[in-house]
Amino acid sequence: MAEEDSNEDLRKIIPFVKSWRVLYAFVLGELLVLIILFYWFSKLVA
Amino acid sequence: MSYIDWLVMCGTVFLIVGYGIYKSRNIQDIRGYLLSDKDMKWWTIGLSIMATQASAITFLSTPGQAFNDGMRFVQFYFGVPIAMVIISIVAIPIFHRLNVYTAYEYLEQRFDLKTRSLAAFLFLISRGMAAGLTIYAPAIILATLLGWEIHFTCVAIGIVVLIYTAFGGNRAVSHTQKQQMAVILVGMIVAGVVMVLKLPPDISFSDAVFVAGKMGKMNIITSPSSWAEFDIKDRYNIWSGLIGGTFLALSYFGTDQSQVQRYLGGKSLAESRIGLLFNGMFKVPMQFIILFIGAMMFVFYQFNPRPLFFNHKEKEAILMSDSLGTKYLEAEEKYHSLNQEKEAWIRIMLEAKQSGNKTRETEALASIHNLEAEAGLVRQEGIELIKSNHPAANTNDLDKIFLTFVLDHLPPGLIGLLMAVILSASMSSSSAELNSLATTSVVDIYKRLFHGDTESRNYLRASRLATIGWGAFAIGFALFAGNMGNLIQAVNILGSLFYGTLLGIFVVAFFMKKVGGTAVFLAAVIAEILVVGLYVLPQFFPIIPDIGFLWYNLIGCFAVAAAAGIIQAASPKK
Repeated sequence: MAEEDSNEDLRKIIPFVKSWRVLYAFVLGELLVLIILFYWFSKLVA
Repeated sequence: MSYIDWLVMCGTVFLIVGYGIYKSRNIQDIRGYLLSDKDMKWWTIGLSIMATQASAITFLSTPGQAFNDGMRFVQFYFGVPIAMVIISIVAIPIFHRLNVYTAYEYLEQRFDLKTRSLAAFLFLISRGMAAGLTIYAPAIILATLLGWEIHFTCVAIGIVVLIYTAFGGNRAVSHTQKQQMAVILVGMIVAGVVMVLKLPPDISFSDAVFVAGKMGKMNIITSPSSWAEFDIKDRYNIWSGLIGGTFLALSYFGTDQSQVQRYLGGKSLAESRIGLLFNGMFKVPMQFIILFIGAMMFVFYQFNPRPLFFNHKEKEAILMSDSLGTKYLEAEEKYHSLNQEKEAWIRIMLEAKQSGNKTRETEALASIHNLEAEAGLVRQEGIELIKSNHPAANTNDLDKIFLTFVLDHLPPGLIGLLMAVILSASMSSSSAELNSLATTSVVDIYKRLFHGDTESRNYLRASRLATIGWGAFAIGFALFAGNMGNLIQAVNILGSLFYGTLLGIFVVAFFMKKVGGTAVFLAAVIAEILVVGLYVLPQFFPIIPDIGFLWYNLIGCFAVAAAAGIIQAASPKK
């Protein structure tokens, strides 16, 4: 399947996400944000 | 449990089972039975993946883990989002394009029949025994705390799961897992809210978080301060979570048929991918919430009487003995007295915090730590007494702490809901395991090895019979598990011994295009011997380091890839 078709399938399900790369970046970005937040929280309450 | 608890628990379980049977009533063939006719939406896939991984033990032990060791266990899940992205990019497009029923079918197309059969065999061994434990582990806890008969509990859980799994296959499993996951999430959040509401009126939520933090339960991120301090035996730190956890998640979600089958039923490549990424996004927050409930439970027991030992059955047994029973009661009284003194110092610490008196706060914290250490010694004394009374007693009560809280402190109705949570979690994992074991047995063994992959036979009947067969095996295994001593630990280790090799075979398949079937087969055998050696040899030769088994996944995977590359390079060119 071509990348363009594949992105089109994604937009049919989640219209506001432009491409798979954006979705992958979002998932990994969320992990990074969570780790930073957890680290900050650990230091704050320790 | 009261009548209303029984009503809530049984009503929830029967509604879910009935829904599963209703949704799968029109299954006509093996494709419908094993792959749900490939019509699953992403949210069903995502919830199904989460429900498969979250067994009853997850919800029973995880709060106890935070209670005992703090929240650092959450780091174990940091590899999940990374693995979900890698599997979405690499594995799912291939599985969808080849239209396979099992992950191992792909291995025959990429390599040969022997490699496919080896991978299917490794999966059947490890998952087959784990299926018995998925029934046994929650059954033993429910039986202990509720006074139920253990054999009856195992058979009851097994038969309920078997009814809808054998009837409706993958479709029934996936649809019931949606409801089970909803019950689990609602139940856990309600339990957490009740726990906070039951704190003394003068202790606010922020006070509870402060106390948990000061007493070392908010250690969410842990890391050695230098490489010299790095301990390979330490399972839960940010590096073992990110590196070891990624390899474990790649193995589990990418090569274990119980998970692969969840997303192979997707309506399209996009639905499967989004379902998997959904799991990647929500897994860490979900585990954080469950661990946070455990940390709050720790605070709750700072202001409420805390049992010396959470296993009621062992306590009742020691109280039957005159001499040991008296000593145990003395230890319990001393423990309560130390905890009351500690509670007073916690209140002093909170007052000092509010008035900004840092010196007093530090002084109070030092006293709290001393009393906590002293109480720990008294608890250890109590455990030794339990062992003297009953040498085979299970002295690990982590998985009983949350259930003790539920039974002692939740109102009627909610106890039934939490029991439904535990049964739902047990059923969701067991059903997916039985379904995947049946699929691999029929597709990779029965259909491929005995009928040459022909489509002429009625494989639907064979699939139902295989499900019943694996269900009977799992129930039988669960019934005998109690008599087999340290088997639970052995089976957990057994699973981790095979995952690295399985992942290595798939890594070679995806990324090392020049490696052929014989090279990867031999490499897999060598890697398996290496990993088993790393587990067995340190027990006989202390000079060989004992490695935490999270790292076996990484070692097994690299060993397969390296050995396959070397064997292929050394092989004569055709």
